[in-house]
Amino acid sequence: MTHLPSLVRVAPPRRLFLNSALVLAATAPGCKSPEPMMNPPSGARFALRSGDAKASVAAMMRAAIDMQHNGEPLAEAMGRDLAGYDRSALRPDVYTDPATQQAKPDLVGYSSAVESYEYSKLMMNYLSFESGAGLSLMYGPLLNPTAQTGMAAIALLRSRVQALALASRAGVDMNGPWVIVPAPVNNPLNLLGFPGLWPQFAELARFDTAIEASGNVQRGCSLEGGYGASAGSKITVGDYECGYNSLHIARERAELALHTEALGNAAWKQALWVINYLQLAHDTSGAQWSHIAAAALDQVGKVGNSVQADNNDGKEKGLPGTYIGASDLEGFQALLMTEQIDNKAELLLRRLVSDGTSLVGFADSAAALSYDYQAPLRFFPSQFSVTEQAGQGGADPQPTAYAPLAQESTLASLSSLLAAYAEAFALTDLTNSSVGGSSTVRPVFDGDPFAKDNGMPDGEATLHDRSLAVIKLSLVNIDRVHFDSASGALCDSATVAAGGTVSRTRRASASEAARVISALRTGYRALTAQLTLYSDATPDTLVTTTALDGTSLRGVPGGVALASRIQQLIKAQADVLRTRLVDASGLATNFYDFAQGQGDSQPTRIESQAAAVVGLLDAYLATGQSTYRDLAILAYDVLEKRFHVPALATYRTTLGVDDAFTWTPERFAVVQSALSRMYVLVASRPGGDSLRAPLEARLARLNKLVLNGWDDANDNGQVDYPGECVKPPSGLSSGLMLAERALTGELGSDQGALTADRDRDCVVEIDDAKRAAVLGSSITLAPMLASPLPATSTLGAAKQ
Amino acid sequence: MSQPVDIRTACALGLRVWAALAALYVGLLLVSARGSLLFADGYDGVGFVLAVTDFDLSRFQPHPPGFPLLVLCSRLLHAVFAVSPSLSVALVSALLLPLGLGAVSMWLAVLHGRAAALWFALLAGPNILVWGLGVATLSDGAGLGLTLAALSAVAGALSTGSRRLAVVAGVLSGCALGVRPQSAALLALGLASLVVYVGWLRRPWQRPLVIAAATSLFVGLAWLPPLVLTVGPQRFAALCLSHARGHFADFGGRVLGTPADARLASIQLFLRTLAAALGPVLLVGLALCGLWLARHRRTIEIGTYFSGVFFLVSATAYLALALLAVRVTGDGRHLGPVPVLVAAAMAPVLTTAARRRGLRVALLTVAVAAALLNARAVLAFRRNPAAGAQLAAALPDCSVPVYGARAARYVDLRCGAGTAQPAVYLGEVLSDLARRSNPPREVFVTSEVIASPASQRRLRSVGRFCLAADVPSILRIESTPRPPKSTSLYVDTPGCVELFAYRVLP
Repeated sequence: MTHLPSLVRVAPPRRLFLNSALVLAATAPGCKSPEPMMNPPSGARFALRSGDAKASVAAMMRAAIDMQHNGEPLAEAMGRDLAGYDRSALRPDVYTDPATQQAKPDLVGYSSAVESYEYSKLMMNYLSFESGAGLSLMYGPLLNPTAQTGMAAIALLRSRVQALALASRAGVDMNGPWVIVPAPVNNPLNLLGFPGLWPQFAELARFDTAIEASGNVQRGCSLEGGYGASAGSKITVGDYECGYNSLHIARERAELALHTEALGNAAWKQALWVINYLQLAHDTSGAQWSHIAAAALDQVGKVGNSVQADNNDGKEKGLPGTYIGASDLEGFQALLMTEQIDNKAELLLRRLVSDGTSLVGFADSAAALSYDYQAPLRFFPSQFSVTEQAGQGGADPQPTAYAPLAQESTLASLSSLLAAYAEAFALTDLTNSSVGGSSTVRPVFDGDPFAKDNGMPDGEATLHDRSLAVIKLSLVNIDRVHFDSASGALCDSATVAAGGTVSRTRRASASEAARVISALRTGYRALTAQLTLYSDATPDTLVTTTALDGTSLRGVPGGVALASRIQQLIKAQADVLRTRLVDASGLATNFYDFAQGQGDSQPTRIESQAAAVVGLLDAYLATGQSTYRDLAILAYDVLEKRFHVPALATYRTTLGVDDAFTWTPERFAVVQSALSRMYVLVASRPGGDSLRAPLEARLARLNKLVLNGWDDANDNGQVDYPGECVKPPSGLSSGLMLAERALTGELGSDQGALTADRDRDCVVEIDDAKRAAVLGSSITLAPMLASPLPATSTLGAAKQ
Repeated sequence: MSQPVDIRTACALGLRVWAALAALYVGLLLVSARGSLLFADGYDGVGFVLAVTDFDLSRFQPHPPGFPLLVLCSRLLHAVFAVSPSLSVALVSALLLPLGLGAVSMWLAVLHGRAAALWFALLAGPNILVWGLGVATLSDGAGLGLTLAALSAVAGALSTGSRRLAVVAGVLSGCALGVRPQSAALLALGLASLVVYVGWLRRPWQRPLVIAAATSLFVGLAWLPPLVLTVGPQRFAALCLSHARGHFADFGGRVLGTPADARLASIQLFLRTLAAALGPVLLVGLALCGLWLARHRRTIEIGTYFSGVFFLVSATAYLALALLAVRVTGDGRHLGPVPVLVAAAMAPVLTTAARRRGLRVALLTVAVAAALLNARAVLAFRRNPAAGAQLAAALPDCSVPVYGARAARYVDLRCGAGTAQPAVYLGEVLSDLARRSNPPREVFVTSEVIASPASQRRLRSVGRFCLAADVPSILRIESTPRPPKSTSLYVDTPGCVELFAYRVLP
């Protein structure tokens, strides 16, 4: 994943590189440097001063996307074989080299491959299937177009869930294995066939994570395949893993608000994982296969089919009977999330589009696809209120009306929608041989269970065309609503008045600049059939045509092709980063105000500095220009020199503020991404060897301290339990991750005894934490220092 | 009819009745326990059992206001005889309920003679409902026994003017209040009827009554201030109010809870419950007796009953109270005193009827047969070897109690240190429920972990699964800070298989 294509010529800036390496080598505590310890060698050096255990969905899912990218893919980039980790191990952080069978401590590998990666999946699963923290899929506009209520609405969703379960073989008969087929009748514990399943099509913006998860465990709930592969067989797990009735949030107390950014980030994360799950198909024995003969594709997923999949190597074949997804459960979840993404697209296009005065929507996806730079302005407001009526006959609460909370468009919202539906479009794009065109994905969109498309952007009632419509509306409005031609920058937000009059803030922040570059890259790669599962860290290939070229594109600035315009926007925002948001020394400013002609006067926050690293490296991948990467390395040097606190082996989160370090999901994720990108794009290159160990140490420490709340005070690489777990105030957990589950080793019991923190990693099981396994909104760590930290300069760059 | 006996002889007779019935109840307990642990009866029973080792009204909420004397007595038995907590609570009932029956026997002997006392003991003691209360881990049996004893002592004090007996009466009344505070209502009614009775007989009554009342208040309420101070007045009030509200809100409607229940089916259910409480054999005996009296035109000497007016007044008042209790709680065990009072009223009649040898033999045969049948029923009610074996197989690391399957049962399991077996079992039972069509209509599950920082003991899970489809309740899963309540200990819940609480030993 780190190979550079021939189109991009990269000349490593050796001097800068060596400087960075020297700084890192001198300061990295994780590599057992002789860094002075200012505290006793045992017990946490931090106190958790405060936190917010509510979940902010936009931030949480944004972090989840990054945590996935910085999970297994990063571990592989670091040279680990994923088979060397046992997520159910009693002692975490161990890597057993499959080649030599030698075990060794591996904090960064385990925290990336298992914890970061699986935590991100826990959050997605919780939102998608378990929590009820959204608008119930039984009222999805595609699933239930006539707004049926009560038992009729339940029946529609039940029928769809049953169909998806059959296609993935998650449901075979009354014994499941996951979904009871047919669904039980007259059983409020199990309306759909899977106990407590509560799928959503639009996630609420915030919710209280307090739950009363069941404290019981069971053996009949098999977590094989993706879930329990490391265990190799049936393992006893918390019974909430196989029945979600005790995982629902207090839905009646939830704030009924939707944030477009949250909708986008949730769909982005779901689509990423759908691509992942659909990379393989499975047979009736559960064996995974990567190829299906073209002639048999239409039979895949059909009950009783006799298709035999293979690995396209002329060798072994699967058992007769091939079903969708890498496993029965993963296939089912992939299909259900696809249904959610599809219904969300319909909601967005039909109900959540404004003309600046009120919500008008588009008549269909064809109308949305005809939107261009000269059409009457239509846009997605950033926030909505929702009106619901109580569900009848056991049905979920039913949304009845939506209203924008402000006629405001935000760059963050459009970035998230663009990337989300770019990933979704890739799934349906037959010209993308790695994703939509692969033989394991094509059976999903061949008419059953999802509608087949003709491959043209012509407004068919398919996920293909709905995704293109959302992409187009987002992409055009990023340009039309947010691009300030005077400054050449994409501004963070804008308000739209009646008649489509746009008023921009004329302010660009480092965080949003990095995000929009990432989203534009994702959209570009999807529309040009380059997007693959983890292609975000590989250079883009320049092309001239996109999947939207067949639609109306009147008024594209400069009259260039859409592909060129996307490249121009990426370049423009990259230059804003390079010239306005980062100074020559690499220090970032939080934002640049073009109206005032100056940067933020407040001290630089770590997310701005880290975003500069990420955004510049993304710009390098998009353009191939090494100047961006050179500046990214300088920005990283600043992250090391001015934000990192050697005495505490962590980062200060705001320059000049040393008594409290506040971490949010977004802040954590962008710092993790900066370190990860530096590893993959700088340290992994020839000559970057000396950077690897320091970066691994930083990543390990970041993951362990901020996510888990483990402060390895004596630097021995082991959790001295529980003394090194940061002590939380009541109602909080040790770290940002509020709790964990079977996916990361909390099985609920060990050797017949109930456990609360089975693997002793400071993150407790959900039924003991009484919290969902998601990220809280913030934690503030207060260092317990014997003497004050060295003073730092606080101001960021403020270029004129 | 036999001649009345003097008070000393009556006392000796009463003590013998007490000893005999206590031996019967304790013997049954020991037989049914078979060296294992007894199950607890209903949610309240679980609370009392758990309170033997962890009495924390604020945290564990053993049936507010806590019944501290019952718990204290149980704890003493638990400590002194090293019996299990559930057995110790049941033993309190087994010892104190016969105390009341002995006291009633004593007064029947004084009023109607030795034969009436023995007939009463033979009818009331083995009655299925009385016997059930006498071996339950509840406060009902112990409270009833102490209340009857207290009323008897009060009657004695009033009729003799004895200050010593008044003090005894007060102590017994106070103990009754401490074991079961609801006894206050019965004691008040009984005292009022005694005052009427004694006043009618123109006996001095003021001083003994004041002594008894003062002693009763002193003894009975001695536990209250420290308990309130320990828990906190506001918390204490909240606990009691929420418990009372629970009775009205959660338990109503099972028998005659609301006006809507005043329909034929509900009335039939009530009559069935009443019949079950009285025992069909007893009813048959009554009917035979009436037929015999009618055939021989024997009249009953009304004067015989003058001396038993207080029993009738109490019986009538308590019957109304019991009906009210059933109405608001839906719980048939509140009918427990009814057979005692009916048997007391029947005893003189049977004594008269039994003057003829043949009839006496017949009545005795019927009574003994009824006692044997009742013993069998009580034993069957308390034991289900098949279900016990099933549970034991599922929980090999746990001490599995004798196991009841006829009605909702709480099972007090004792498991090895930190074992997850009950949680596994509960999880799998619940999972099974979620897979069924037309599953049980009533499911309560709570998975609240109650951790005591001091002992690290945990009451991990309490669940109730009624596998009958016709229990008219709402299917729901609850997570509550305390285990859900049993709604129908003696009311019609066919097919409920289990209900258990357990704690993990440190």
